Amino acid sequence: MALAMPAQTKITVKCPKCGRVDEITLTSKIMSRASESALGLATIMELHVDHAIMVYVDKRGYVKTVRVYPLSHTIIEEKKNVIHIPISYLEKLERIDGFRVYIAQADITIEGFKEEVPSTKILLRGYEGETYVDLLPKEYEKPELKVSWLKALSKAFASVGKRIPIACVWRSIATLDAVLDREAPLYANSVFEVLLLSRSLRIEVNEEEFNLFKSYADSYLSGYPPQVTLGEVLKHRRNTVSELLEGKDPYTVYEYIELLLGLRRRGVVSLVKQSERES
Amino acid sequence: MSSRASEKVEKAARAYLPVLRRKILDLPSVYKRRYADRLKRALYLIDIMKGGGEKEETIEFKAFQYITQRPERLLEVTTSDIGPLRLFSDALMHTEIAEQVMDTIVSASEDMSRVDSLFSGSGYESVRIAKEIGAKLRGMSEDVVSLEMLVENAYRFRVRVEALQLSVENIPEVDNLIVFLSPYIWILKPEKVLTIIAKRAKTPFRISGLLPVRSGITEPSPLEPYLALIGVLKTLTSDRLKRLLVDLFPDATIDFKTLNLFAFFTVEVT
Repeated sequence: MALAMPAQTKITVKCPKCGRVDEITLTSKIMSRASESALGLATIMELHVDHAIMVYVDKRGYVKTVRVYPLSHTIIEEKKNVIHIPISYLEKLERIDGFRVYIAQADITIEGFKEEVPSTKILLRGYEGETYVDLLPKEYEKPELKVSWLKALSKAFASVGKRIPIACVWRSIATLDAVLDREAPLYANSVFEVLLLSRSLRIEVNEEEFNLFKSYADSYLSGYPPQVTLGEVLKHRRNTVSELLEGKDPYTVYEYIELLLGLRRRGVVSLVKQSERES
Repeated sequence: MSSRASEKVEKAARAYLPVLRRKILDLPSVYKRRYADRLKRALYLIDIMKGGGEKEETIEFKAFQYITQRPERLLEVTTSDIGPLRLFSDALMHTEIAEQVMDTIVSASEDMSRVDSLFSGSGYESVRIAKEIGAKLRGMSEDVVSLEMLVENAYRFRVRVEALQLSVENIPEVDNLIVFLSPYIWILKPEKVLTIIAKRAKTPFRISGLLPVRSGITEPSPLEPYLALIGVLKTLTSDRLKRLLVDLFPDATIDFKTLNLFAFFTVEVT
């Protein structure tokens, strides 16, 4: 496909945060991305020390908008208490090339990168207090969507506290990978809280509420993928959330957490925290 | 829209009145002291109405069975925590009357680009309407869990949604299609919400609502004892609601129908 030549080949952009002015050359690759994108926009990222600007350019080379995002340090600091996730796990991720979680209450860092991160690579960051989640996405498209998920995950880490099993951290990252390009719902932090606590949350079904809910459950569940069923939740009553999620792919895991939260809002299930001895 | 669908709700509400009476009398004394006015009103209404009848396994019956179980939970409902009314609203929005109302609204609202869902409970009905007419949705509620349900329903039906947590006094400028169908509005007192909408609505707009009414001053509806428990001590008559709409929206085209326990209306200002 022949591409239309942009009206201009170089643009200058002033950063709304620090005022730095960047001159950006509009390469044929950038113009091709704009032409092929559904919105007709290409994004160009420029790194500015502790933040980045994302420049949205249309297929004629005009700047449509400029947004600022906080970033993590480009060079990884030497930290104590670092837990590394093996590369064999990370290879299963489709949208994430690496991540780093710092949980302030536990002063612990959990990270995994598919390959050694060069200092020029930038990571998107979401944070809650001193707790943060950094992400090296495969694509930088729609960074605002990705950052909103990272904020939600950071909030969940900050609220859940110190003792989080690594398996639950991994399940959260794998689930994040499945939903990263969607819009995060306003309760996204609750999704991750349930995932992080999944080994200690027991599913209890409340009979009176369930009796009413089942009268319209078929209609309610019509919006869920077919592999997500109420029967599977009922089969796991009095089991942990982790047992319900066992063996399911990350997309299905997300949908089951959505269902559990939906049932909890209606009072149909309670997610009861077990004591450590019980769990 | 048939009145048969509304009759189903009426039969279900009536069927559980004797159970509700018994449950109220069995309440711990702390509730009887704290909520004396509401309980007295609810018992008075139950006693002047014919309650009972055969119970059925339909959504309507199960919904009233559910809220009759523990009246203390209805007494504790507040605008920021509607408790058992979340599931009740969600269930009621899956009944025949709600389906019929939604179809009617959809067929008359295809030109609308946004649905403003005011205090919508689970938001199921607003999401469905927005989906059918291809509009965006804005949900407003004091109850955060209800807003989460609205977002969850929007996700299931792939509708773009903006959720705002705010009180009825702080609703922003509303326009396009404004819907209120869910029982959440019942707690807020419909006349109050309609008065605020009249001040905030921006022309052109259309309001569609389904509200509980009684047919005459001396003819209470079987919904009223339940409403009394959540703090609604006065239910509008059908005529009073119609007059209120005419007074609040003098330049509007108003379509008004009474369906047993409910009034369904559309107010259109172009």
